[in-house]
Amino acid sequence: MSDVATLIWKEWKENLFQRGFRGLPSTLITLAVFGVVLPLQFGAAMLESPAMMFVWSWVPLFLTASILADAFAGERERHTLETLLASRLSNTSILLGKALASALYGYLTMLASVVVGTVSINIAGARDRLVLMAPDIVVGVVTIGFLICWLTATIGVQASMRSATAKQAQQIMTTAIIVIIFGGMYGVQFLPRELTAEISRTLATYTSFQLTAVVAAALSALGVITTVMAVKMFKRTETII
Amino acid sequence: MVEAIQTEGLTKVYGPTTALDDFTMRVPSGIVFGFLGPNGAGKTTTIRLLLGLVEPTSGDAAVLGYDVRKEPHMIRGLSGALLEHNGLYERLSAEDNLEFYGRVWRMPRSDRRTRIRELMEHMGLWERRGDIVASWSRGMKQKLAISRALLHGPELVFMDEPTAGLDPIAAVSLRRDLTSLVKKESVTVFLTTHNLDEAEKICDEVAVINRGRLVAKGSVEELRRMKGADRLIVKGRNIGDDLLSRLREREEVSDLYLKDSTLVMELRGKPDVSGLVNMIIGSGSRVEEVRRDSASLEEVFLGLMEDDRC
Repeated sequence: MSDVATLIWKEWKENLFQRGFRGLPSTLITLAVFGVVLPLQFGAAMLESPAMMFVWSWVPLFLTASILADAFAGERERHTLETLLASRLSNTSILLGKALASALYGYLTMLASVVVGTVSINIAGARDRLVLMAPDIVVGVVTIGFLICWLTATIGVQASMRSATAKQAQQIMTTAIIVIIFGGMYGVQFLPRELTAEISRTLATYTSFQLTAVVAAALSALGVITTVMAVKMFKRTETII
Repeated sequence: MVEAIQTEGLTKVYGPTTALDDFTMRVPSGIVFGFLGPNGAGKTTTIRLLLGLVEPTSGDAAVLGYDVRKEPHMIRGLSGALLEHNGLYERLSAEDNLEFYGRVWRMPRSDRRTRIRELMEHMGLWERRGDIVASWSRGMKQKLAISRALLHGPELVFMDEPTAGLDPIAAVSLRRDLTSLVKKESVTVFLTTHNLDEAEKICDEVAVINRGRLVAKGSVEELRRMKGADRLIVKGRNIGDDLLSRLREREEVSDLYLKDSTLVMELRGKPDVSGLVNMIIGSGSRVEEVRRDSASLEEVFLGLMEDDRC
């Protein structure tokens, strides 16, 4: 694990904390949007509505993707990858280090957005009671948020591995995110009405915890598949182009 | 002497191109080994194969006793590398670059700090350790990359053209720092270069590669003996055509030419040249300087390339 931690240290230092904290503006914008603007717009529902746990969970998607493009393609472009591969680090350490560095960045920013959002809602709401997330929503956000980060990271790292440049990797990931989000949103409309009604009825019978468990199980299964795929794809002897 | 590197029929084919062709070579440990060849000769491919970064098409190789196919992680763990590109993270500070690789090699914190300071002071970089590397000159970056390659005290260091692209002053300075560090650390260095002057100055042994094939191997002296006979160089005036004709007939002389006031005679083997000198002086020529010389590595190299083309 210390090798993975070393990679995370380097990735964060290089992407976020150098050259006058060059990576921080995008983090601050995310915090402003998801921690201030949206909570003020939706009010207490942002914390209390079970549906909102899915909104929170999508926050890290873009952040994770933003630094993933750089993982392999950026290093290849800047000619640092070969030296890294010539070190004693194992394939798994390099892969997990890079994936975790971006996943944790997105995840921690999401958690910070939840905290800032809670403060914003309570300050702006001026209620006589403290508005907090219900425990079931907290569990949902914490669990599903991380799994989405990991899924994004393990898919993104494969895109970065296959791309010649960070720009190319970024384009692939942006396209994939748009297809997944909008494809999901609009795809539902094309399902038979009876089916969507049945799904809605079934979901309505679930508690938030049950719903979290179902979604988490599905994301975990996908995460395992994408992790195995990434590990199999990463071959040192085929990485230098 | 224990061998640091052994290859046996090592071959690497990329599509229609054979980058390394049936390459067999042994590199003793504890020396600076120069790997010479023109651009595209297969030098970088050889380093990649020896570090397990690409797989051989056929043949075998062992580095520090470990098989490049089966145990490349052991080789990488005991080696340092300055590859074709310096591999520095330009957005990090110089100190953070070394800190990262110190952590990669799991050096204890206090050892890491001490070692980073020692190397950076040796290279004259310590005062600028906090600078972002992107702002540095190429020479400073190369010095930092050499420090990184030596940071964990490797047994073997691969250096791919360490002075390429540097101005002469920076190259001399880097070469000096490199040789003093190598002596101090008792490390085997596998250095690729097409700078023959550099190889002549710092390498104990050299190999010449061309079009993926080993052309020659030995000490610089051995290569000279192999390809270049001695020469007698005479500087003076009144060296006439008659004298040149008579010198050509001497059995010690294989060839000669006169350029300006310098007469160069290619000798056959290692003859006694006192008779030649007496003949020149006796002819009335005014001799200012007489020097016996052997072929430079550059001449040997060019001769080998020429032979290989034929």
